[in-house]
Amino acid sequence: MAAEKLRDLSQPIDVVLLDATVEAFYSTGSKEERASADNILRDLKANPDTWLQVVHILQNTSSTHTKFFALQVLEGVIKYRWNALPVEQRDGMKNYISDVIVQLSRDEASFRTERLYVNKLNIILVQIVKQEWPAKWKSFIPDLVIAAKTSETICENCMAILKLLSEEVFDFSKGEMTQQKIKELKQSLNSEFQLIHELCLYVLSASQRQELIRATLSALHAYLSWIPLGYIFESPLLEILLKFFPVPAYRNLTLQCLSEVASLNFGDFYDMQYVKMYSIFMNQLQAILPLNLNIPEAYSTGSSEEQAFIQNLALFFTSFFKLHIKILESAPENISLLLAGLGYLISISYVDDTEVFKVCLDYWNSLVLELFGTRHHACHPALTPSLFGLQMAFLPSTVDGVKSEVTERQKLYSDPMSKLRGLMISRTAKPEEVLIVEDENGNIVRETMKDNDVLVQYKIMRETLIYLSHLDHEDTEKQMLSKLSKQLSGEEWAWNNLNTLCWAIGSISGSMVVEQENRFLVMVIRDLLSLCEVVKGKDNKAVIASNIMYVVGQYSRFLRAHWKFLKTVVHKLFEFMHETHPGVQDMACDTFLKIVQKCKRKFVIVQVGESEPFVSELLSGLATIVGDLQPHQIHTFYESVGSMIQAESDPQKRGEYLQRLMALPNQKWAEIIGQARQSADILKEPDVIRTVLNILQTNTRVATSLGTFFLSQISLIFLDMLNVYRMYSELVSSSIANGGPYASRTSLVKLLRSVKREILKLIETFLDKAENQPHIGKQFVPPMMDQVLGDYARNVPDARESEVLSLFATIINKYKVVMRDEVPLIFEAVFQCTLEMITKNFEDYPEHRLKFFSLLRAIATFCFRALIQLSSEQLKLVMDSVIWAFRHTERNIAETGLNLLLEMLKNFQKSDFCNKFYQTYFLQIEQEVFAVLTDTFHKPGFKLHVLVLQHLFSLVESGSLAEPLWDAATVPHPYSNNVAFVLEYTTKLLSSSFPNMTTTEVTQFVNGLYESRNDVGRFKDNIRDFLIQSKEFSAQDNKDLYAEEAAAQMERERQRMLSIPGLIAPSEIQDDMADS
Amino acid sequence: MALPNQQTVDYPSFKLVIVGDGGTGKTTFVKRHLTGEFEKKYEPTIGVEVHPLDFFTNCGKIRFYCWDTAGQEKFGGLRDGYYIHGQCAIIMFDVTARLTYKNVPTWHRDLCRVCENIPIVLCGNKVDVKNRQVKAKQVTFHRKKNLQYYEISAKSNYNFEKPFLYLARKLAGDQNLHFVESPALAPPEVHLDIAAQQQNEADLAAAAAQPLPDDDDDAFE
Repeated sequence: MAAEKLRDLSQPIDVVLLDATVEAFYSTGSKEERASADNILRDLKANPDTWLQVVHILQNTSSTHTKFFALQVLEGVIKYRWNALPVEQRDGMKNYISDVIVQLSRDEASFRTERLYVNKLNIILVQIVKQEWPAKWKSFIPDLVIAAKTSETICENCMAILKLLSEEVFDFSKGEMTQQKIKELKQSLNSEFQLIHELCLYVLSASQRQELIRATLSALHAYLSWIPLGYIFESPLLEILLKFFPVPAYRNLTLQCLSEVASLNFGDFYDMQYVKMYSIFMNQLQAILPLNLNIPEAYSTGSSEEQAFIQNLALFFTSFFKLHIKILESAPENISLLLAGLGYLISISYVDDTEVFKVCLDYWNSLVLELFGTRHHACHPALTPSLFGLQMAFLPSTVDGVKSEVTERQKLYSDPMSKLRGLMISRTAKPEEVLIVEDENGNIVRETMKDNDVLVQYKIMRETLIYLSHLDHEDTEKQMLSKLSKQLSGEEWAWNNLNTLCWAIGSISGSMVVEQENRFLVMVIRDLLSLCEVVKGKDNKAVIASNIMYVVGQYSRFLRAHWKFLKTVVHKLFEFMHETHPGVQDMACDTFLKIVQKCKRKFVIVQVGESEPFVSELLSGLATIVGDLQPHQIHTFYESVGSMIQAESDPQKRGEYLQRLMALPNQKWAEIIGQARQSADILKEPDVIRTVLNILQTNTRVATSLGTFFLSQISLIFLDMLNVYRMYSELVSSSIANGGPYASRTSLVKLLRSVKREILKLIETFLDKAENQPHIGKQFVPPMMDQVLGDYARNVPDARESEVLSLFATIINKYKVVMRDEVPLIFEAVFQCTLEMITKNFEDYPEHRLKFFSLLRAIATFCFRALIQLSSEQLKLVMDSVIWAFRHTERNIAETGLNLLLEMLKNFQKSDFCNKFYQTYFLQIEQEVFAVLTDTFHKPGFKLHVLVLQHLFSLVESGSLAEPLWDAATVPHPYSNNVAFVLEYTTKLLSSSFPNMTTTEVTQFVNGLYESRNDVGRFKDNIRDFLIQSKEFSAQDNKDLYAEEAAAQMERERQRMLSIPGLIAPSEIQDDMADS
Repeated sequence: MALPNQQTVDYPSFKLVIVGDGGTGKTTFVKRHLTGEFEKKYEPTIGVEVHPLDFFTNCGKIRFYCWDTAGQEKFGGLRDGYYIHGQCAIIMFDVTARLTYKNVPTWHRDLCRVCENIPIVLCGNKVDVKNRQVKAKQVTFHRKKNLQYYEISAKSNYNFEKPFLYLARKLAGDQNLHFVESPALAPPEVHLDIAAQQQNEADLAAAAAQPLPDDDDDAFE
């Protein structure tokens, strides 16, 4: 292919060919063409010599894509090799880039059409500035300011450069430059800001040009967060910003600037300026966006720009109020503007966009908490507001007529707070999220989301509503009931409205005193029941029924206090369990579980007027109740009943209930096992396998709720279950071994594997939930040794379940040292064969990898003695696999490996084997950790790499290490101590790995590490700087770095660079920016 | 606009750039949309991979050319070179890895320096995982930048169409645009020779008899 010629960089590059290659990458063509173009371009970019052709390319191409590519090449050189270049080349490049920028931005037409190119040139220039400024380019800012004043488009571009500079120095410097360098640049920019400030003010007052003003506002925005406050408050800046605010083209930019100012918080010195800013702002806002305007409506039909404006407005108000609301409160003349501002925010909160709403919600939550805090503090100084969940009993009652003192602040905010209640009620988020997903064996499972943004939003809203309710119970109740009556009247009837209302009603459970809550709840239920009467259609009725059940489920205090009602509810749920309308059975089973979990004791005691506990009555009718349910619903039902049984304190009764509960599945199980004893083949029938799976799943759910008390049941089926496990496992293994590559995907194998996994899950659930019974672990593990572990080893790799590894990790984490004697057996069964699966590459069997290392970690943490008892070959295997683990680029595996390593290092330090262990492994570990530390693939492991190194550096001088780490036979000279040895070793190691660094730099770093070993912060900073230095060529050392040969090469490069037309000798060039 | 390796289509198409740290699930997310498969193995993308992805909306078909870029620094290839002429973007982070969220501003900066004013969606992936490190409350970066944010799970398909829907609406300038059917899972590329087919006949028959779709299409590739 012709393009291959590009790889030869001994000739000036064929720009026409390069253009064609770049175009092949960006435009239409076959997949192969693009891929090969991509390949060549990537290789060219990586080639250290390409950059010498950059000017040649830039001058001979007209393709923006090619120019962009050439600049990318240059960027790498500037970042990493700048200091290794001779000064002439650096100056040449600097001047060339500046020159091109000026040329392009001087002319409006080229400035607009070459936008992409100019932007990239600006970035390149800023990269150079980061290297050269201030030491070698003292006049950069004055140069830039002078250039800016020569033409409006140049000025616009200077603003873009200034913005980039602020971003690079203040926002993105961490990890890119050394601490020292960052500090230096920040100081320089700070001390030169005067000039920039003057330029901005000049532009904003003198220019009429929209693009220029926008670029200036945008640059200012980048500076506002860090410049000295005087520049903001003691100059006309704020006034100018406020003047621009009403102009549509500048609205969003000024608003962002003003928000930045609003979020500054440095004492009260500038309070008056804030008040002034707010009042001017509000007056202008009311002119462009009247308060009575329907903001949600405007938002939904607005352009992106307008939508952004609304969101920016929300950000402005919330940041201003968060820090400065009290200044507004304190002066009566500001109150109306303050309330108007809150009015805007309420109105914006109704915008139909979750992210806009979340901005507002965060603020409402903090305001309400603050108001509640002041009130509560006034009433009960001893209680902190954060205890609201516990303080119901202490709260002043508002129903019995004893109104508590209401503070001035609350009076001030009572109207917005009432509006806020309405808002919260109508927008309550969904309290729970259930997903229907398909697992890898093709089974459909229901997954409950535990922690996502919708749930967090619900929690924040619930908290806010509870505070609001405490601030005024009556208003809360009134608003909820009135909303409910609008459902009844049809005025607001809609499923979503009813749902949010009921979620809101459910969310304030417990915030009212008992009598008020009872009265409130009864009214709610009554209204909901009448609603159910009046609406037509099964769909509607189903939604209402779900909502009734949701509300009821939330008010468990009421349920516990009213047995008759509770019983009625439960019977109603049982009725629903026969209703096949979509969703109703799921709702009934889920609600039943929730209610039982909160009221379980009520079901196992004999209630007044009844002859037996409810659970007993239920068990008698069990088959009928669950008759119409789907398997997954039956499982939930069983978990619920398990929960009731768990609440029974009499072991005998408990046992009897459990037996009755499990009678059906046990009977079916016994049948199958009995038949299997005649002929095992019956177990291979898909229907039978499904039944077995179902029985096991039922058991798992009961084990979940019963915990230790499940012992009798699991003992009953345990041994047979292991036999089934082994049989299925062997079947899977042989199918895979004989059935070709697709055998593991057949539905039969998938089904069999589902059973295997369920058995493992059942055992794990039970062993994990069983409390205070160390002997249980002892008792259940031995039978599994051959049936599960032995089987694992005997299986072909594809048939091995990773859950075996996690089961044993769980067991060791749970039963700890009790399991120590089993460790060698576990080791023997899983170690070798799993390693064989996961050491061929870093990708196959991802789950086995993670679980294997988690198991190792459990052993190292809780059964450390077992590791010590390993033979030295076995220990070596362990250490090798730990190192293997943290060499993974997959973050979870690497992290598990590093945590495991840290634990082992600490444990070995404390053990009698400290010397022997570290003599064998210290250097290897150090070297391996440095290798990953300096590899960008392993960035996520940085923190843990640091901790390992810190451990090693602290260890060398600690008392625990008594013998030399070096081998006397192989070192050239004896060392006075381990410290001297390790420092020298480390210096050598790093010097040879990073020839771009000088020996002085490396020695400094290594000594610095040693000195900061007791201060993790400093230790980490040292390493951070080192990581930056290790990638760059350092400044002072061109001579050291380049041996003669390299220097000759450099000279050749330099000559070629200089011979390229257009690159004038640096000595002859004045600063272009200043000239133009 | 002309785009690589695709026949141009007679309905609107847009270049979508997907960026974010390595291992956050960009490729898995795209693959999930392409084939329905959930890839568990981690194999870092090198440079960029471009995939067309079609959606059906009430206003007709729309195509995203997804430029699935490398997250690993070492495999970054042309980096911001891949963003040129991007018309919309997804920035992905992993809610179980704090560093990947910390790096979002850098990805956003690099994108915006090349593509000015394009619609961008920030996606927090892997919300199905139990111990998330980046809590929903901490995710605020997008607010000041006026980006959209979605929590997603490529594994459980949670919110998996949302980012595309948002971008489609912005690009079409129509708030009411909606997808009319879930994106059809592209049929797996089945290239079986007769012998192999016969060999697997029994298994295929067994699979066909199952009520649920078999999602492990990769077995036949």
